[in-house]
Amino acid sequence: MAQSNIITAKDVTIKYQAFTAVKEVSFTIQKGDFVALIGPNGSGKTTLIKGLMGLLPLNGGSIHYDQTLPIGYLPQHTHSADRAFPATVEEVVSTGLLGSKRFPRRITRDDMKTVNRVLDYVNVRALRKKRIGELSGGQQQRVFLARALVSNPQLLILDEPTSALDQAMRDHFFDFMKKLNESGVTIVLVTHDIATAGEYVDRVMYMDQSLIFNDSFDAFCEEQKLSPFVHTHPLKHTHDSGSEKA
Amino acid sequence: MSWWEELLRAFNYAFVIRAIIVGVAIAVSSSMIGAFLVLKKYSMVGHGLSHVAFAAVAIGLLLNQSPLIVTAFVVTLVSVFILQISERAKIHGDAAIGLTAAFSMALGTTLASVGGGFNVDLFSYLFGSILTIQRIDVVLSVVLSIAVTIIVILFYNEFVSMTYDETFSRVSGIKTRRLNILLAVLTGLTVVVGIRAIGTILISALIIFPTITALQFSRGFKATILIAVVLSVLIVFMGLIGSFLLGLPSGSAIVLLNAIVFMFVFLYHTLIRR
Ligand SMILES: Nc1ncnc2c1ncn2[C@@H]1O[C@H](COP(=O)(O)OP(=O)(O)OP(=O)(O)O)[C@@H](O)[C@H]1O
Ligand SMILES: [Mg+2]
Repeated sequence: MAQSNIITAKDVTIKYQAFTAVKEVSFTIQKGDFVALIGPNGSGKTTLIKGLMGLLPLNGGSIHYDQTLPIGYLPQHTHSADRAFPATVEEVVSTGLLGSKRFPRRITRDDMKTVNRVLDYVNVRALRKKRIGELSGGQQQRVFLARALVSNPQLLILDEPTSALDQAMRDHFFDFMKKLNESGVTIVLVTHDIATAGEYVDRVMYMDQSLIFNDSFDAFCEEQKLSPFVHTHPLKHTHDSGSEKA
Repeated sequence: MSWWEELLRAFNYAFVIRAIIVGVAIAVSSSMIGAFLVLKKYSMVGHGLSHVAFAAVAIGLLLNQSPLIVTAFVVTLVSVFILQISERAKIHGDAAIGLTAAFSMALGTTLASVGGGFNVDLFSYLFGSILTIQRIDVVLSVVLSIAVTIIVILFYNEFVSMTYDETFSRVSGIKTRRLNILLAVLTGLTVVVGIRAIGTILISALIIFPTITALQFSRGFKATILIAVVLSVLIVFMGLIGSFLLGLPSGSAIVLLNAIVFMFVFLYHTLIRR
């Protein structure tokens, strides 16, 4: 099989001191995948993503990566808005281009055109000369999205990209992700909005410390039986089922 | 018009020319470095380091070594160290700096009292003595400011990216650790060269004031740095001239002028523009 695994995670365990946030998680991400990573608050999604990005050390297991792919990353908690930070929206988005450049990493006129195209796309072009800190939370999230997308990445890792977006922007966002995915971009998306995301993604990974479910959205709905929207409802058939049922 | 003649006469003195060259050079490097430090919320690094420099000078004098070499070595080392601490350990950056500063001042003054004889020298390092600047200081500060300018220009975009969002920068392949060390080293060297001219106590003002003032009315990162550098150079220049004419201590004059400019800009923006 000539499957091209972009990410191979094997028994990944990540701890904060004695506390195990991610436990023995194994999965693969193939080229062209569009995966939603879901789970309740505190279930280790962000921790796992940080592990993938090399921002946290692993306490066990391994992650193998296709190093050649340009990655676009959107952290969950982007800057606590430092209102006084002088960088403009344009300047912030242009930093997304640096990773793909060689020393001395200059930003050219063409780059600024690209930046403005992406800003147009997320509908904040009118704000491009404003200081980043002067924007609202949702506007900032659009800017960070633009920063993640501007380098034309082949692998997108987005940690709750839509949490602050309004409904119109959300739909627009998912449509765009679908288009990107169809053009070959691999996408891993952490979300609590599986109701919307489910229609777009081709795989759902549900985790709560360990990986509990990893299959199609239809199978996910099937598994949940009740309602696909209540994904915070634990699927703890692998854990001891205590006295939760009444 | 006698002040004008006096001013012209002042330019005939070699020490005045030297002071202006050194002052302008330090203004350039400290305001450039300052922009990144202030926006990274590391303003106090300069402050802490200037205290460390004080202790290092005392050590140098005690050992009969050239204080410049000892301070350059110690301060740069501590600069990198402070940065590593605030990055790794659970100590807050500001607490780490506070500890270091207090410890260094205590060490410096203790050494001074043990050493006895060199109190006068030490005092000149504390408050600067731009009038006794030597040729070596001119060379060092000019070389340093050129080096800082070149490095900041070469790594400008990376520094901006890292200053705004270190995590994102690291993920996108920017060598943030190396850049941080580079920034720490440049900070250390700027402080060391700066203390000779405007003194241990006052160098942190040159790192912080220009950026804070520029932030009041600038838009964009590039504009902020440029305004900070220009402001700082003008203020240092005028502060030096003013202090010659009025017979004031030059370091204090420069800092006071910085404070006055800041207050004007701040008041203008809070009272009039809003
Ligand atoms: N820096 C940290 N130090 C200690 N514990 C942490 C740290 N970050 C997260 N945790 C713990 O690890 C667990 C997983 O956190 P994580 O942020 O990965 O959750 P999440 O699935 O992303 O949640 P959310 O949906 O709220 O974003 C939580 O129990 C949290 O308390
Ligand atoms: Mg999270």
